[in-house]
Amino acid sequence: MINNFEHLSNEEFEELRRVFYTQAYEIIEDLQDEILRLDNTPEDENALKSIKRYVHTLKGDSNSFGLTSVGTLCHRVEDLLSSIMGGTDHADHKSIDLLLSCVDTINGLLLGSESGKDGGDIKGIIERIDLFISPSPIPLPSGERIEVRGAPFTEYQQLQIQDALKGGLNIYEIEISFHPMCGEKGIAQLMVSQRLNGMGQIIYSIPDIESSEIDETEKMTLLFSSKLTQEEIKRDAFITGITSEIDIKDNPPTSPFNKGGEEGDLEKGASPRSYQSWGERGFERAGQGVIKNETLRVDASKVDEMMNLAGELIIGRSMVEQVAKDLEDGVLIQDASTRLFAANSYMERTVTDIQKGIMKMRMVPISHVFRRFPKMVRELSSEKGKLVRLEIHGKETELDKGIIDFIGEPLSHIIRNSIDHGIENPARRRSTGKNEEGVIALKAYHESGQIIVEVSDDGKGIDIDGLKKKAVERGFLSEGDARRLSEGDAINLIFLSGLSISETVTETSGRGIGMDAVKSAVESMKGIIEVESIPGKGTRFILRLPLTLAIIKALLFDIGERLYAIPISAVSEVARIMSEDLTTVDGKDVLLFRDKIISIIHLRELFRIDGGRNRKRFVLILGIGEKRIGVLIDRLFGQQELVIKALDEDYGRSGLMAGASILGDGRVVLILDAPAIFKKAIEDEKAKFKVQNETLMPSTRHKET
Amino acid sequence: MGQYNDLSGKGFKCLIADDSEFARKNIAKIVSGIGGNVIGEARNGMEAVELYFKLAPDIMLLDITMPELDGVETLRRIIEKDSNAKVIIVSSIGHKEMVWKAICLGAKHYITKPYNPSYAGMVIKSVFKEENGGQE
Repeated sequence: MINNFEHLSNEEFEELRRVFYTQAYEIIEDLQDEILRLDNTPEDENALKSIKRYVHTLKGDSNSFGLTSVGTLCHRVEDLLSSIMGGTDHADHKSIDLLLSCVDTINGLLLGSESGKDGGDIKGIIERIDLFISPSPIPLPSGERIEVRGAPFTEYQQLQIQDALKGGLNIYEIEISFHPMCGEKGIAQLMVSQRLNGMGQIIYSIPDIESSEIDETEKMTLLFSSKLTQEEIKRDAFITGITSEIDIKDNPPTSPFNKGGEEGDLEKGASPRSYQSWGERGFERAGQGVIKNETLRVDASKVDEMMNLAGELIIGRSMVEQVAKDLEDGVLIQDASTRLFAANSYMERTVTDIQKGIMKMRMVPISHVFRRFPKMVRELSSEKGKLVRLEIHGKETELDKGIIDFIGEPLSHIIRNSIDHGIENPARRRSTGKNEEGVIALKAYHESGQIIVEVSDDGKGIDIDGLKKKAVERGFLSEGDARRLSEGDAINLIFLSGLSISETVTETSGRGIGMDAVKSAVESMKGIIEVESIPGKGTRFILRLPLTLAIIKALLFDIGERLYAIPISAVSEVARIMSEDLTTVDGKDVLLFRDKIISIIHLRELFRIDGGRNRKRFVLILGIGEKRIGVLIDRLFGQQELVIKALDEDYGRSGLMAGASILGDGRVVLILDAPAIFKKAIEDEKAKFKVQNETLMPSTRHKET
Repeated sequence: MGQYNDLSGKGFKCLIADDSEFARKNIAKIVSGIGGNVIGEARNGMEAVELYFKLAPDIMLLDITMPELDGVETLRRIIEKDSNAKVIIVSSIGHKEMVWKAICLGAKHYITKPYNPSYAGMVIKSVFKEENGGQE
């Protein structure tokens, strides 16, 4: 108390003291009024807001005045208010009572301290508040933090480092000590990040701005890429009252960099990595190293249900056993077949229920993935000096656990890109008549047997002309092709390896990162990614994912005598054609279909199946985005649900099979990997024409020939 | 009072916006201690915006929680018209989110209550000096 006022004379201090107590008692009265108002009209948000403001003012004044007991209690009351405001229920009598008790306690403390006595104990009331806020003894947030800390470097960070090195930038490890007297270190870190952001790119900073340890930390460590020298950074990063010491170390690419002190390293079993060990393409390498969460939390009732069903299976089995015994005893029973059928259908029902039940157990709400994003968005947007609000819809949507484990990284990639390149800075947004605060919306929902996950932003959209230009510059496309490319196709250029989606690539920032890696990650989940963008309005990424990885709806067909299946989600149409409908262009079969020329894949050749060709055949039109290819097949057997079994390495080697399944009659069916076939078709084309620019649009070339 | 007589930031005009009289008085002492002149005090956000444009202060000390307009909204209205406004957020611990927003919007610095007087003085001075051709 004395410490903060030593600069004042006695009279000055007396005056300040008088002001403090007068005002504090006023606030107590106002608080009592507002709490009673809240009691009468529990839905009154304004009452709650006023209460919150009064408490906050009282907290600030008390702490400044040195009356920390009141300050501490007020701080807990603020938590209590947040919990009331954040809850689904309005303030009830229990919370009103508690609030009034708090005010009484504060009043007592004030009276006590004014008359120079000890104001009493606040432990009891704080315990009551704690109990009210979290009746469960398990603190939730800690688990979340561990999850977020994750691997030593995220894919995105790795790509940023690679990019910086390629661009000839310096990489520094910067350690900044905060001024010992600056409060809210999180904000201090924000200011430093903003300052640095104008000088280069922050690859990461520790600790997390939002983590609780930030307020106790005395320094932050950053990995930073910039073209500036150490001295320049040291000079420009200094902020009075925020930074006290800035220590910069060169971090040349050859030295392994350990993100020191991260428990994450241990958890994930990863060793410190050096820059050079990182692959060119993010997810493919990392995919192998992804530590999946192998335990599954299951509702006890679901397990009970399984137990019941297992019991029913035993009944079914004994039904069969009884028939078998009767037959063995030589008793000629008339209804043996009827009884067997009955037992069978009984077991069939049970097995179906078990299958459904187990599938349900594997379903996990996507909130498990989504919940890491609010924090990430906050951190990242502040680093970039942007204001971004994250809206989440459909977090209760359930996905197969297999997908949940893998979807986080590609999603965070997309979100990071949105913040980096989509959302404009507040000034720019203001000047274009937008709200300063950008919005990123994350949505998950079911649609026709698929799970759709959307990430949309209201940023500046993708500059399609810029993208085309860059694709031409980098030799992905010829100028002619670029001109002919429709908007819908051109936008898919962002999925090309090494193409930036920002409009300017400068030395320090704005490198489009790894959307190709996102694409392959989504495809490895048997999903499809699409992108839409309106210049000036925003961009939307749409991920279409299968409900489960274990069971798919597939179309069965054969080629020669061999049975195949393909996920029905990949098939956009099936057409019946005659051999003469196919035309050969440049030594390759194509089909004119609905005024479009579609490349044809001959699975018969691909899989080296003998046998003549029928004249009448079917063609499956596979579609991803606006791209189409045709797959020639012989006979079609309709659709069926298949349980996917993994293939041995030997079979899997061709890379065109997603797995196999066994049909009811015991026949084995191979399941084709649609995205892989797509890729193959495109590669074939490249090889045949030795033209680079066919990567995107297998059909464009045929149009002009 | 020693170091508070340092007049290197001499004569700057300062506007204080805080709904607590105690808080206003408290920081006013610091401002005058480093040679600034408190030219106005606002008790809420509306008043703060009005006084800012009426008095054109060199520095504004802005509280976050105020009636009518909160600090963030007040700042927004000021920055909209004067993007070079030198605004320092003065706020109690626990309003990180709002301070965060304010910094993103263009507040130059922040001070958390309770503050050490010489620290607060140093921060205010540094923001004022930057305006006078200090490096940025």
